[in-house]
Amino acid sequence: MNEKKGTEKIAELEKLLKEQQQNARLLVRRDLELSRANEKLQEFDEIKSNFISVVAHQLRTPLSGIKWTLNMLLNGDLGPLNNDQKTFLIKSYESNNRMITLINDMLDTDRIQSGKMHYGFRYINIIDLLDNVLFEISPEATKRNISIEFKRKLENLPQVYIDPETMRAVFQNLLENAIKYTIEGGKIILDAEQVKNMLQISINDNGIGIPEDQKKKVFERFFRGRNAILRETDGSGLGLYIAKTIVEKNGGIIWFESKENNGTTFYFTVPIKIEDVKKN
Amino acid sequence: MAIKASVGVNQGDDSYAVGANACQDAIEQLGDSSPDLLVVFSSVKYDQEKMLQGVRSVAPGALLVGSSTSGEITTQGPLREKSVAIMAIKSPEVKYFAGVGENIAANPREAGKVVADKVKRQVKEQAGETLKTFMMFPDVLAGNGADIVRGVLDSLGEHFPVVGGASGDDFAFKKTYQYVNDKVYSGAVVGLGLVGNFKMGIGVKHGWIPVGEPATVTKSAGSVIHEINGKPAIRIYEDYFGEEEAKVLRTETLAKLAITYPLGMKVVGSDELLIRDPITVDEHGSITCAAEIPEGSEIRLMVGSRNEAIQVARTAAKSALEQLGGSAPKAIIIFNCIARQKLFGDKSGDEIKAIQEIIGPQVPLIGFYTYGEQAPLGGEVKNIERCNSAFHNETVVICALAD
Repeated sequence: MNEKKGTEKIAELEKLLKEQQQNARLLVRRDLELSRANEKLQEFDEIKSNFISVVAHQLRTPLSGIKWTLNMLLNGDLGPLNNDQKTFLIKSYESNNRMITLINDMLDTDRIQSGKMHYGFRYINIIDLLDNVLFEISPEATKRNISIEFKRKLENLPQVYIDPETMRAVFQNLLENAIKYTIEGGKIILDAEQVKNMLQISINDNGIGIPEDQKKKVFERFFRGRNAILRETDGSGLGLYIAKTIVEKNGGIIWFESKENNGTTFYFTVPIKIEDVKKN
Repeated sequence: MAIKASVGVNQGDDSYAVGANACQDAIEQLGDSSPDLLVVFSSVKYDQEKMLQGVRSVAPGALLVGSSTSGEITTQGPLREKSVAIMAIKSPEVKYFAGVGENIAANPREAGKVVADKVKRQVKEQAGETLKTFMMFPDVLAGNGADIVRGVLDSLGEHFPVVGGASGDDFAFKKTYQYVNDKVYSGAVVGLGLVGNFKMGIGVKHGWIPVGEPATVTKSAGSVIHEINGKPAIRIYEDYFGEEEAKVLRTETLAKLAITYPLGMKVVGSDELLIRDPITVDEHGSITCAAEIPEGSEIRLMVGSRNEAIQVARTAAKSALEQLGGSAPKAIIIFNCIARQKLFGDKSGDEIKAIQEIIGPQVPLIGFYTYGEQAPLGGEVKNIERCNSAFHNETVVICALAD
């Protein structure tokens, strides 16, 4: 009787082992299928990236040529212009610039998504970088009579560990947005302070703000605020997506506080050089 | 003065310029134009000699060692574009000695012994100190990787901390390169000996999981498995993969298809199975691995999981740090199996990020995707009697340097 039970048990175990082996085969085959599908997707992604890159570069070259020509016309290098001609040419010049910005944003987005954005981390003084960007964008602010001020004198700030090239794009995007969405005669206030082992930077404007129900979507690709569209301001809707990705890649976080018609403050953090972190 | 390290990287089309720019980048970040050591990892996309000339043009006085790769890794994560990545190191407390063992194809064990002998001799003659650690970059497309490690240990002693990564060639499995100063080798093993006042921690883990029932290697010679369970070795893959995939197994490099499904065998001194990557299959169904699986070994087919791979990467990083006795890591070198890159796909950055969360994101980090890793089993370096250096596959090896 016991022998019979033993034989039955062995047969049962053998059956279980056989089933387990069959399951192992199925697992491996399913895993293989998924891996192959994933590889195919990566190949398609690479093709998409190459396509965007080729098209964008092909478009950028003639657009740059147009910009150069329009610039010459506007400067009067090819003869004097009457006021109407000037007005239309300025509109063409701005539209052309919008297209160039859009293409550059698309290229950046693609580089981010395909992992081809390079980050050369180093220790720098971030205020030098900010000053540099301010110098570039201040003519636009001056043109619209918008003042840019520091909340306090930024002295003795610790060095930060970031990639200056990509962080420049973050400053550019946030400051250009602040100028774009601030009414003429408005004010932008900048600040930086150490919070634990991070440097927190803020850019505050008294512009149109972000509608409450759209706040969740601000960092999504191609998002544009309802009030921004109504005001016919330019924008690809990619800038904040790019800024968020870059800040996070640099080891920080980005967020904002905003009230519609009452301004917006964007905050982001970057890591401080380890040796400079003050022990609290 | 403490160990100072930095990492430079560059991409482009002109091999000389890319080498020079990557080195310039490393030197600028080091803040010192005369580093003691340059560790160079490069894609095979670049003309290897011109690339090295470019590197040397910027820092001609530094000792240079390096290897071609199947993907470079730096502090910014795995590089998606084919690059040259360079770590520059400076410290008055550490001395470096390099050597090369050639002709692995003829005798891998001898090549391993020769390179270790050369380094050992220089240490004795020039430093008058004891060699502390040995780093190596072997070409395992030319011969049995485990035999190369065995040859190194023939020279340095049975229990000696050896760490390193086998050169890659962007997953082509055709030809890899090794570098010493301005010379480019192939079919060779380059060795770097470290001497002086420093600490080193090594972490090694794979996280691959065995599936299915165990099988026995019934016929093998060196790194070639002829039979498993009395049948041609390739049957194990045909059985698991199914008919459709099995057809391709004999027409393409086995490694390209099966690298994420390696074979694992039990070894003393490691809580994980020791893995062997299949590289090629011949017309008789014999499989050549990156290192040997001895006859009589019980083996399992292994599968990878991203979650598990990230967990073990963290564990390996912790293990490397623990061995530093409380000192902060100053430089990290990672030897990461190409199979892990394939396992993670475009998420390969997650693994490196997990490691950086443990070691600190600002610690200079360099590494590459390899065709095999070398490290003590279980990362044991403190208890030298239990330090058994071996040839691994599918692992992430994390090597941390500290003052």
